[in-house]
Amino acid sequence: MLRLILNRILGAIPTLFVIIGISFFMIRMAPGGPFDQERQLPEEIIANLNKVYHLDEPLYQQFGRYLWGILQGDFGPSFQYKDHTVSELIFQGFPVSLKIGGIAIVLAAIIGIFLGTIAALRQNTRVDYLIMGFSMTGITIPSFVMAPLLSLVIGVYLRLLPVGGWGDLKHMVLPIIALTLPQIAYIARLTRGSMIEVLRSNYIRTAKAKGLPERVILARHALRGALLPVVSYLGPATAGIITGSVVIEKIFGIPGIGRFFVLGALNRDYTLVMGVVVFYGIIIILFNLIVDILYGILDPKVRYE
Amino acid sequence: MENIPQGRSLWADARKRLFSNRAAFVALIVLSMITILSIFGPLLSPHAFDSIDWDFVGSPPNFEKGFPFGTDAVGRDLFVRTMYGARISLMVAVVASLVSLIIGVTYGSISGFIGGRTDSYMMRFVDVFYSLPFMFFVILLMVFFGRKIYLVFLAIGAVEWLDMARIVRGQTLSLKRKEFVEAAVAGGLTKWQIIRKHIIPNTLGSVAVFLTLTVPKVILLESFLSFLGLGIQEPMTSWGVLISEGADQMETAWWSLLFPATFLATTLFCFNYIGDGLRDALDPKDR
Amino acid sequence: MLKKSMFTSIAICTQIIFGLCDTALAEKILKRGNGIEPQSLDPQKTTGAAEGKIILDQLEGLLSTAADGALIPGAAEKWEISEDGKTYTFFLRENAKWSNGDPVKAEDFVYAWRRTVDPKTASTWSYMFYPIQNAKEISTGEKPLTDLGVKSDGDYKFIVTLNEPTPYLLTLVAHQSMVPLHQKTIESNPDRWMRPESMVSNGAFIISEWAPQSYVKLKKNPAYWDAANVKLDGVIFYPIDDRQAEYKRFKAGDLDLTFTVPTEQIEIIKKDMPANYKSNSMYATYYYAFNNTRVPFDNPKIRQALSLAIDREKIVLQITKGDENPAYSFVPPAEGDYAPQEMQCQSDSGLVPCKSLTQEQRNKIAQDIFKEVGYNKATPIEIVFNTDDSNKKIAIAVAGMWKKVLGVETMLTNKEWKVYLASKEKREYDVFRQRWIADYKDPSAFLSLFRSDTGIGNTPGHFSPKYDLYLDESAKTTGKKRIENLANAEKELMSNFVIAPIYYFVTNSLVSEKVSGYKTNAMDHHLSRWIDLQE
Repeated sequence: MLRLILNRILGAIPTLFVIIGISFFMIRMAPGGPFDQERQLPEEIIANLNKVYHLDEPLYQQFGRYLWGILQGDFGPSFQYKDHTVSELIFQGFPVSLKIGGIAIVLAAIIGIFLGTIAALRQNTRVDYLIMGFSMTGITIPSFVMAPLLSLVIGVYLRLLPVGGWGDLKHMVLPIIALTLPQIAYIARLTRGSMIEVLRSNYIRTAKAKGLPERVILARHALRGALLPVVSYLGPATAGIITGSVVIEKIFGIPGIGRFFVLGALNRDYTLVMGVVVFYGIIIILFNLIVDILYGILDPKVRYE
Repeated sequence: MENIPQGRSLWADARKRLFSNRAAFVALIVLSMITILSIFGPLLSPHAFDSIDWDFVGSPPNFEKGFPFGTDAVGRDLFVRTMYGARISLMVAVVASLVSLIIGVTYGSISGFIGGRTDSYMMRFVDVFYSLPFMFFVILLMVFFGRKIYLVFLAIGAVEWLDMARIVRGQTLSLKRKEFVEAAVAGGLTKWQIIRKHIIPNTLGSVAVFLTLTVPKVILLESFLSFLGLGIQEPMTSWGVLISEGADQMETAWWSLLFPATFLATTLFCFNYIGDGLRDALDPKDR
Repeated sequence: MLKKSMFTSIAICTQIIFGLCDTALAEKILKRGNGIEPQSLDPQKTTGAAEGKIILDQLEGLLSTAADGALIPGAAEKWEISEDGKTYTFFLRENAKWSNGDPVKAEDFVYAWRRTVDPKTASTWSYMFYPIQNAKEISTGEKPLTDLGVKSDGDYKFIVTLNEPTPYLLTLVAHQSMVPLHQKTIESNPDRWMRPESMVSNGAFIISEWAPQSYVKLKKNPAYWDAANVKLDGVIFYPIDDRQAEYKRFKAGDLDLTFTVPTEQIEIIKKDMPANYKSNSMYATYYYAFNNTRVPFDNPKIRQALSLAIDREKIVLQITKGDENPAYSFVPPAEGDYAPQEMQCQSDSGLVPCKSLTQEQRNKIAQDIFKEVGYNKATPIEIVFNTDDSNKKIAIAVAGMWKKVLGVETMLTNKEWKVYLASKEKREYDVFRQRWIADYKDPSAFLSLFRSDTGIGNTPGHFSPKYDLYLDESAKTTGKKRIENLANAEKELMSNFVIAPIYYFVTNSLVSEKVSGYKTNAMDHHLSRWIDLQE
């Protein structure tokens, strides 16, 4: 296990390098630069700007400069938010996204696995239909409909919770609901699907034949096997959610990191996009490692050569 | 190994089972009706999908004038537009999901079954893909290849197969330690034969479920591509675009959200029941 | 110390007893929606309106704007203009202070203005300073910073030397890029001086907290020379880039003043809350630019026909719905000497303003032109716009009108913002949606855009030496002569139908009943200094 972790961490370095390299050149190839604006600027001003931000250097030199900066932990100044460095923006935004996203994914996992298991145990009964109907609704309503609907009904009409903004606990409720609902749905469906399969498998049949109580079978045997696809899904899903959702952050006015993915790209804020990409890459690699470790725990038969 | 069912009988068998599943059967019929309606529905309306009626801008449903779903903010008939939207969205749902299915399942099962260094490299490649800025990928696609409908499938497929690949690989890791796979290895089947005949069929349960989760994602992702200028351009439309327009005016023009959203929801429910039915029908253990 | 605080607490208690507590303790904090997260609060590094609102609340230029947008003395008490119009002398207020107690001196302006044109600052605003002697040469690196045509004469006299008489200089100096800066603060903290811990301001307010993507808080600056007349204790600017979200937060009572109004809700807003709805007719125009360099749009007749076939009334009344006015000229109407030159149409009684005809008559003229020039309808016209709901609706409407009136097919292409800008520079389009918001209130802010020799915003590829000549003349002349030259330039532009103006742009806001002192104006300037809150 320790070797796996060590190997993966060492393996992460070339992976990150590839991510940085591809992203860096991909971003530069896109039309439009960070300083293009509706009011077209005279050439000399563009030239001055390029000089200050080192955009006048050849691309390979800029790439070298960027890598050198990263090695020193410096992601550079943001091209769009000129008073802030990229690291500052990421470390201000990430705790916010982590808080909301973390709560949302934990809630979703608990509720989703619970609902999915019940639905599987009561397959093709009314309970199953009810749970799956609810979970389908969670999937069919896109977040850009669900979020404004929540803030309109609960915030504006009923005035129970703030419509948007950030600060207190009460500001977190609606965004967490909006984030959690579709995830519950996904997880419940995945759990149900694999649980049904596991319940039909030989080892569960054997356990049942042995006369073990259902609860024991579930907890000790079935759930383990059934969680494999859920865990595969949860890895990238968690990485995605704790790094923020653009839609949710925009609609509820949450100062998270999620909108930097889109804003940075739209503004051609090269350094911000790169910073976010690197950060996201690390989190993805980390969570996929956790997933692989969990595989080993959930299914001892899975071995890594 | 001779008693392994041949491909054709497996599918014929599966079809029979699928049709005997009531929910799946009804879903299949409803979905076919929506498809047929999307093709022939516009003929029922006196309005073209792009014609503007300045006297009925943002009008609620009005049957006398032939606007059963009302009109949008520039006075175009929403019934016809919902039908046109269905064409695009259904096509995206089917094609893009299939793309993600084929790539994801193949990739995931190979990676998981071969294991070792290959698995490690293949999964690192997936990590790289996860982390690349998707928006730039889309923008570049458009810049280099122009605005073409197949690029929409390509762009969506490019992100959606990743989750699929990871799930299939996870399943494969645990499957390949199962007795029947080890028996097959001992029986001298090639790797590819084992993947095809034992691994993939056994992952289909999770795959079918996950596929039904992919469909709504791709339909909505398409509207984001439109935002970036790659997806469908006006005056053509899709459900994703209609719903996001409707969401902005849910307070003032409920009809512009309700009708496309209902169609989308119904379709997704259908896909879901069909997916469940397919899963049961393809389940090798019940065979 | 102890005594003092005891005294205050006694004072507070008395107020509680007498029921004065609420009014005395409740701070008056104005909550404003402010569009996007500010790019920067460094006046030289910003580009937009959202930043401008915060900056002008903190820093006061030579001139300032009243609640109704009129120019009023700011840091300068009075000014003198030389006979030839090329030298401006500003007399600074001797009682104006920075928030740290330092007096506001002429040197602070010299420093700030030099900093803007300094190539090392790379300010996007440096072009605003080009009327000033040597500003351009400094920006291009040809001349040293000290050559800029500004100087101080003593602490309170600031002298500006111009290349040409520039009658709109007074509106320029009220701009967000021309504020003074506190040199010592900036030099000791070049990247972070605008942060709450180091900021020194000379305006009515000063930053007290900045939470990116969340809010910028300003508090009253007691050192401000007119602090006695500032009613608010503070202002909070919320960056809310989702118009629907901003509207909802206003309705929930979280905001006193919004940045904009969602088009989708505008009708219901006008009906349900007419008292809150404010419409600022801006000094700005929304128009379609034809690609004058591409066949068949190189033919002014074709451009005329396409322009006339646009039913502007319908667009304004049924699509934008925000009290916009249909546009038939590039320069919007405004108070002052300049009368916009509108498009002219041939009628039985000679040339008449196209505006005076009915849409049917305009359509007829358009159809006749098409017959006359024999337009080939087979190739669709591509309309390029950036992704935005109202751009999209307008493009759909225009496409519909062209099809109906002229039988022309169109292709609508929305592009992501930066891709859109890139295709503008490369002129990759047939018809291009644009909007121009003037930086300062003068027709030249519009007309200089289409200079065919150096025009940096000459999107349509307009070419007319005559036009350039009129503009050159206008720069050298003053008063009536200048106005005449500008009018001739616009006439040249409009008679060639280089662009199709669609409507004069407006900015709408929602203003709470609690707010007083808010007045609509063409530059959309609403300094928090004039605003008061009633409970």
